[in-house]
Amino acid sequence: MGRHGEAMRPRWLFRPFAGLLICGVGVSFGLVYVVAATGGLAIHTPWSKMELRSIRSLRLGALPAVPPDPSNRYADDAQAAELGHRLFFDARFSVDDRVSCATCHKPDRLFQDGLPRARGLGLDDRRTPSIVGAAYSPWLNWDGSADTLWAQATGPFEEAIEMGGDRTFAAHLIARHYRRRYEAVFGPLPADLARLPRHAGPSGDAATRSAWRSMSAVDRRSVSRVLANMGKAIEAYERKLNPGPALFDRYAQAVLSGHPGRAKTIYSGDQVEGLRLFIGAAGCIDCHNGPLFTNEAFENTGVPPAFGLSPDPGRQVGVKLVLKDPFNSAGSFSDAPPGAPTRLGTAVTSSPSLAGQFKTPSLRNVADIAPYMHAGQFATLQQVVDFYSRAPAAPLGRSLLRPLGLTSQEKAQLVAFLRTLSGPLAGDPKWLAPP
Amino acid sequence: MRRGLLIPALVCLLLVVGCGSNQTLPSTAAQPTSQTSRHGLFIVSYTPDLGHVPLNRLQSWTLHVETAGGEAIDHAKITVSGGMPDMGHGLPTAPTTRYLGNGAYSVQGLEFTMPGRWLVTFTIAAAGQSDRATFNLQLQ
Repeated sequence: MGRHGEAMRPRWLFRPFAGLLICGVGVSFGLVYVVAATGGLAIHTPWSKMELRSIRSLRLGALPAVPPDPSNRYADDAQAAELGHRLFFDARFSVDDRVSCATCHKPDRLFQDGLPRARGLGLDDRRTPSIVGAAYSPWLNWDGSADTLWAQATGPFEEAIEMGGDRTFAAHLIARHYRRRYEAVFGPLPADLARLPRHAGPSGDAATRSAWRSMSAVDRRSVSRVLANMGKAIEAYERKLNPGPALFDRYAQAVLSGHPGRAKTIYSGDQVEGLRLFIGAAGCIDCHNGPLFTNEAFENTGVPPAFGLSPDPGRQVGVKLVLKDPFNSAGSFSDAPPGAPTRLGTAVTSSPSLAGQFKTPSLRNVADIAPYMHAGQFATLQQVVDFYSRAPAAPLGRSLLRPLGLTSQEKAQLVAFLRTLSGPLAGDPKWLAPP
Repeated sequence: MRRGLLIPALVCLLLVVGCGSNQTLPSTAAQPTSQTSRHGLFIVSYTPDLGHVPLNRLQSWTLHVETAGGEAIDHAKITVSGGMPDMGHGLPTAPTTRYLGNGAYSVQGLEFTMPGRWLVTFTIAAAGQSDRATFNLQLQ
């Protein structure tokens, strides 16, 4: 109460029935909006022109054919894909016959492993990234440390905590088990491979590196060429692994073809409002845009380090790795014409903003590939959405997020929407199982 | 309208409008593609080589630089910077420029990875003088 008491109350509080009537109508509209927006009723606010545009851009139908890879002339070679399929599942390339690409990229788990951090021969610092739709990615790995799918595929063969092999070890196995298939695609293997050390390579233990240095430059190059070709065959296979339509795509199709009645039978009110938040107020679409729900760019969202690990510099180191990778798209093992423009040539290579950046992952099938973030820091989608709503400061660099202050209902709606992005993988089922 | 009607009606209007504020959408108005540089040294204009500025696609623009009097600026040293001021980040790529002739320059390696407002700044140095032109893009 004011210091002048009741006598000073404005008269309009008591008098005008007409004013209250208008107020009542206004509140009613407001409440209908609020209730509809919270998904409590099946009344869906019609999509605006802008929202429809966003929905159209996210449909799987908007995804073009897998883009060509000028750095790999075998990228669409059928025999290369068959060979790559075999190599992908072959654990003999690990030093203990135990680890293959499929150990982490499990076909029955959408080519991921469900682990917070990948486990090959040892424990990695990061989560197994998706390879579904990877043929569309200009950068591979969480930090973009590879710029072609084939270069990425060569890495684990020599990585001590993944398959732990080396370059001559891989070449000897190709000669022993895959000579015919390899030579049918890539031509003759290097002559007299048998005379080369059993274990030699530019990385690995001291003996492996020493053996590598003892080889002639010609031998080192011809053996490296075998590993590059293995990567190219695996890329040809991985280009077959792409997402299929999800419930979202059915909903989008119904909305965009002017069938709101059908759309309402596909999506619940919560799913509709989750989509509205995703493309609107929550701003998820800023990074998770396009038919694969990713801008394929590197962003710092301030994700905390995994338990027991230091903050991960991400892209800041990844860009240095890709620049010095002999298998990058500008290197001598690339099939791209010398001097052809590559993304590598336009990469930001030294900026403080690179610290703590990681590649935006696709959200296709996101509900089925927990845990989340680059080191599995969050176990559930609820935790992810809650984190983005709070947007704490980044442990390294600067987060681009701003706090959203979503209500618990809005968070649940976003999760309900994200669960509609799941669908079976596209293409011939033979690629989704071991050969 | 009598005062007794006006205030409650305004309150209700605010309530309804406030509820809809999340639906506010960015302007779709076309942004200028030509301007005078900051200190008036150059007239700078660009044309996207694709005819438009798409999201998530590596692209090139053709930049044209001339004096206020319409004389082409040849062999300028041009650097490209920018980003999204509202998001607090720079350009996702490091674009390069190449002189084409007759005041024209190819700007290669541009990419825009988010919808929203972007700034692209060209810093132009020619004949011992330097000036900059910043273009505003609203991408969807």
